[in-house]
Amino acid sequence: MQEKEARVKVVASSIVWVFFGGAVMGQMLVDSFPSPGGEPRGLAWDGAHLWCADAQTDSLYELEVSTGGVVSRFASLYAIQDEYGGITWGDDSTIWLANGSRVYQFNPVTGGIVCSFSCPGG
Amino acid sequence: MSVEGVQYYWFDPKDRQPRDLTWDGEHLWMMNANGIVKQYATEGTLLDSMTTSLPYGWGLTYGEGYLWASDPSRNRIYQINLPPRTFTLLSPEDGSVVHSDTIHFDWEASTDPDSLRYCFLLSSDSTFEDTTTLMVDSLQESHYTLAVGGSVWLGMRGLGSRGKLTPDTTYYWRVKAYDGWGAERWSEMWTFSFRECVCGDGNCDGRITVADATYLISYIYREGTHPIGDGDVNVDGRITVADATYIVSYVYRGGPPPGQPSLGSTGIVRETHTGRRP
Repeated sequence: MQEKEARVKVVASSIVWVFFGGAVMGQMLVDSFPSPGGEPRGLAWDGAHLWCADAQTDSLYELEVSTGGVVSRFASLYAIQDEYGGITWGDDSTIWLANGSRVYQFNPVTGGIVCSFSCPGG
Repeated sequence: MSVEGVQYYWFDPKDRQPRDLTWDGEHLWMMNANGIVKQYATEGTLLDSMTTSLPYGWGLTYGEGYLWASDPSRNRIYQINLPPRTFTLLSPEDGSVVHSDTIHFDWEASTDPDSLRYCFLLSSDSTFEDTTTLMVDSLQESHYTLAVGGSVWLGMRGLGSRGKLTPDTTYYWRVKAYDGWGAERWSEMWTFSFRECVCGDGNCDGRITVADATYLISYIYREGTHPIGDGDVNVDGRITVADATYIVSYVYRGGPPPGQPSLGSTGIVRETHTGRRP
């Protein structure tokens, strides 16, 4: 509820009008809400909810964007250490997550890591 | 550069710390650490760039018609509005000549999650600046019908007057799609002209000749195209061979003009007749 109450419309200072090719952007930042963790990084959309990887709480959050509320949270996933980074959805309803040194495939239904591998760049 | 089928593209060297990528079904979007969001075509061409004012953009994803961006420095997640989707004009085709008193303008429906509307613009001036511009705003459907013979309000910015469109004039038209947040998407600009077809000018070539009688015969007996100009020249409520005979009488024997049988014979034998209205 607090999150819902804390949800704010973006202030006028962040309203930017930009000419954009054959388009005009108008008001770009139309809404925002506080992240449930302390350091939101990677985002992914599953068709209904927004998923957020948070580097401070080392958690994956499933968020309801209309309220900013947390639908589910996966904290301190097994074998994943710190610095959660980019995330994206795979074809098989799994989430791919990078933490700076490795890439992990995570199953949000079972809550388990399916596989992982080292990033080519370390 | 291509290695084993993988295409590599260099981002703008001025892009410090590209952070995240997402795909919206049409284009690739990139967020860099300066909160600048850039749109790329699939071949890697930079299409557009916009500044979000986020001090430290990080994550970026597409969903529900919006971009969603995270900023760890503010511990917030932002919803970024996008302009309506690209759309194309459908008809009348670019450069076409319309033989009708009613013109149906159609364009592809754009998409946007926020109260999508269209603004239709038509003008004899390609800049749409002059007082002959017809503007119809707040359309909810992706089409507009215009009766060219009718009187319409021409003029923008509060100037203008009621008037009619002029036959055989090149007109320019385009459509703007816009959403409730003021984001706009413009269509390309197409041209057309129209030709008025008077009663009896079935093939709408601007004259009433024996060819129009032939045109009616073809329509009646050979499933030819429906007359463009009114084919019921004797005004009996039907299009029959009698109308074709009427035209022949008018052209060769000085019969009454098409659509005005009550005038009777003029006694003037004419080879052709210019069918344009004054």
